[in-house]
Amino acid sequence: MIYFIKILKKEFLIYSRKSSSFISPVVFFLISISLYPIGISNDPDILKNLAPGLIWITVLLSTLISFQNIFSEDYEDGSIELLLASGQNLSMIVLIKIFVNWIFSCLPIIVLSIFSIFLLYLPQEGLKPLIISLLIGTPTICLFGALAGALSLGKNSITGPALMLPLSLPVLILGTQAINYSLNGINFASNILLLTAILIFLLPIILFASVGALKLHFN
Amino acid sequence: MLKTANLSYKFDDKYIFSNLSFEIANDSVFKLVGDNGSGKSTLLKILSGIYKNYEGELSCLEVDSVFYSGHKTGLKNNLSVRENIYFDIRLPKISYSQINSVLKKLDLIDYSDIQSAYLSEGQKRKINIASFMLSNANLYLLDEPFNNLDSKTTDLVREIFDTKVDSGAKIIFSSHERFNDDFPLIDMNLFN
Amino acid sequence: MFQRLKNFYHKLGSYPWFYKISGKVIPFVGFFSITLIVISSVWGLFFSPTDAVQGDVYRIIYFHVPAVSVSQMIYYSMSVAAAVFLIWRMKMAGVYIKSLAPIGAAFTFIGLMSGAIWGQPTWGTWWVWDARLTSTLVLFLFYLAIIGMQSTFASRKSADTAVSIITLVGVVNLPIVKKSVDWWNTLHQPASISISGESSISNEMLVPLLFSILGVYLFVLFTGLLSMRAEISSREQNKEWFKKLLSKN
Repeated sequence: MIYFIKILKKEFLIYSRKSSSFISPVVFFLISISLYPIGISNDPDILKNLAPGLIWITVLLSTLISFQNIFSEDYEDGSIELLLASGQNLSMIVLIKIFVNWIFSCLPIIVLSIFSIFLLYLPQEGLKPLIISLLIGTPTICLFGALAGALSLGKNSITGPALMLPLSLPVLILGTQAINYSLNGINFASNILLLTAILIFLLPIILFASVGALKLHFN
Repeated sequence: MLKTANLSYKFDDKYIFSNLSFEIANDSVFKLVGDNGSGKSTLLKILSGIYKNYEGELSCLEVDSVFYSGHKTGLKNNLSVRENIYFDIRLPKISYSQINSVLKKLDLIDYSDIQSAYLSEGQKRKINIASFMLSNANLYLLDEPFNNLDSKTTDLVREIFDTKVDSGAKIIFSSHERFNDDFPLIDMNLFN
Repeated sequence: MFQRLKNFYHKLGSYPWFYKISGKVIPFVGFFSITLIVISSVWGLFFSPTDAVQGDVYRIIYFHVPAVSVSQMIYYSMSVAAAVFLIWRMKMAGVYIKSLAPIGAAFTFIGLMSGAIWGQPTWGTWWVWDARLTSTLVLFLFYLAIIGMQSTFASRKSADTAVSIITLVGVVNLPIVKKSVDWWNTLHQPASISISGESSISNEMLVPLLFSILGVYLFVLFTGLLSMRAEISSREQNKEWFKKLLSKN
């Protein structure tokens, strides 16, 4: 247990020293959100209908980018080798890495998405379902991102996105649906429950698959 | 303590080495020699559990923990020397005073708060030596530990070997150099 | 009987046996498949009756339906091979997946294109985001992911294992995607375009279609065997049995 706390602290230190780990997602989010009004239309009536989907898509793409390299540095400098040699439970370690990466790349964006009330004219009632759906949905997307990152190890291949995006489609649909329901006065609790169920169900499976994928590089 | 029988390793249908059998019981330090590509690093990785798809038998008894040090340093670029050692996953919980005393012995104390990205190759190797010194494993698998080391540090490492052996540990290290030592050899050229 | 099956299974995993049998089978399969495709195309394009509702445009189904059918069938067979590879470590299964993926991708693409060409004059749109088309697009993506992943790993076994994982992930994800998009669409606009509505088809149109489907399946067998032979050649080029085979010719 102490061992995992040590690894948690180590990951936090590493991420916090690298300012790009939380600046890059923020910058990407802001740039994308600015592109939509310019590229689509700055009419509030149009944007407020599109807002839930646009925010969710941007979060998805940003997570994709930041998870591509989740294991690449550790692979290059030999840390993963040492982890394998230590005989420790890799699933816990991968879970810790995903958690820390989520804190640094998803959490700032979730906070920033609050500003979509102004930037994309999202109605205020949509704020609660937006935050809740993002909080529950992004960990699942991070799981897929970790699997893609473990398979591609940061090499610039398209297989990471090609794998992760189709997997995230149901989460995307459930998430945007939750916000749209709420805006139309329908109860969105079922969406949230489904998102939670998906997360709980997939967590052990995708963790196991990611560890297996990591080990594939050591043959 | 450590025994292999007919150990072979295949990469993409080609054998790197085959039918390797040895036993480590009484002697404490083994030197792994062989030409480039003969499988020294591969064998160490198999013994440490990194490669699991070997053929043959491998048994480790009375091995509580293994310390592996490979070609790559495992150092994090934006952590300082001290932090890299403190958070080294091969080590148990250690105090900063222990780290300081080891760094003093290795002449690294002046660099202890510098991020390891700014150190030279030899200094990075020394950080790995520091971890080696602080480890309390009882089986050490070291891949070319004397690479890039100056003679002062090399002598220091030889001393540490003696200390470890006295406390009951076993060491297998690979090397290109022919020192004047008489450690029992495992010659990979014989098994290619 | 069971022993015969087991023998066949072992033979299936043996490269030299496969090479020998495929060498004999390929010319016949190729000949029949191309003949059937030519016959069914000519028949379907020129000689089958004009549709009452859609006119002559419907003839594209003689290319579209076989392509879509075969694209899905290839993926299901690849997922069976992936399971075989991961569980029983049969190397031939890895060869199968690598060889068939480009063929499956090509036919998925043909299916998408031909569907668009059919859709425009018939229903007034090149594309619609319904469950079927969206999941076919996702299927295409998975094929591309499988093809792209082949070169990412150093050892072939790792590449085959990773690709098998992706294939199985895809076969689980595809129905989920289809259901999700279906559900999404039922809640948004009710589809004013009902692409799934296929009128009952008359026998005179059906027969060339069946020939075409059979022809395309045989064509996939033909190209699949060729592709697997090429893959085996590249993997086993330094092996004794292969060198002997080459020197005999």
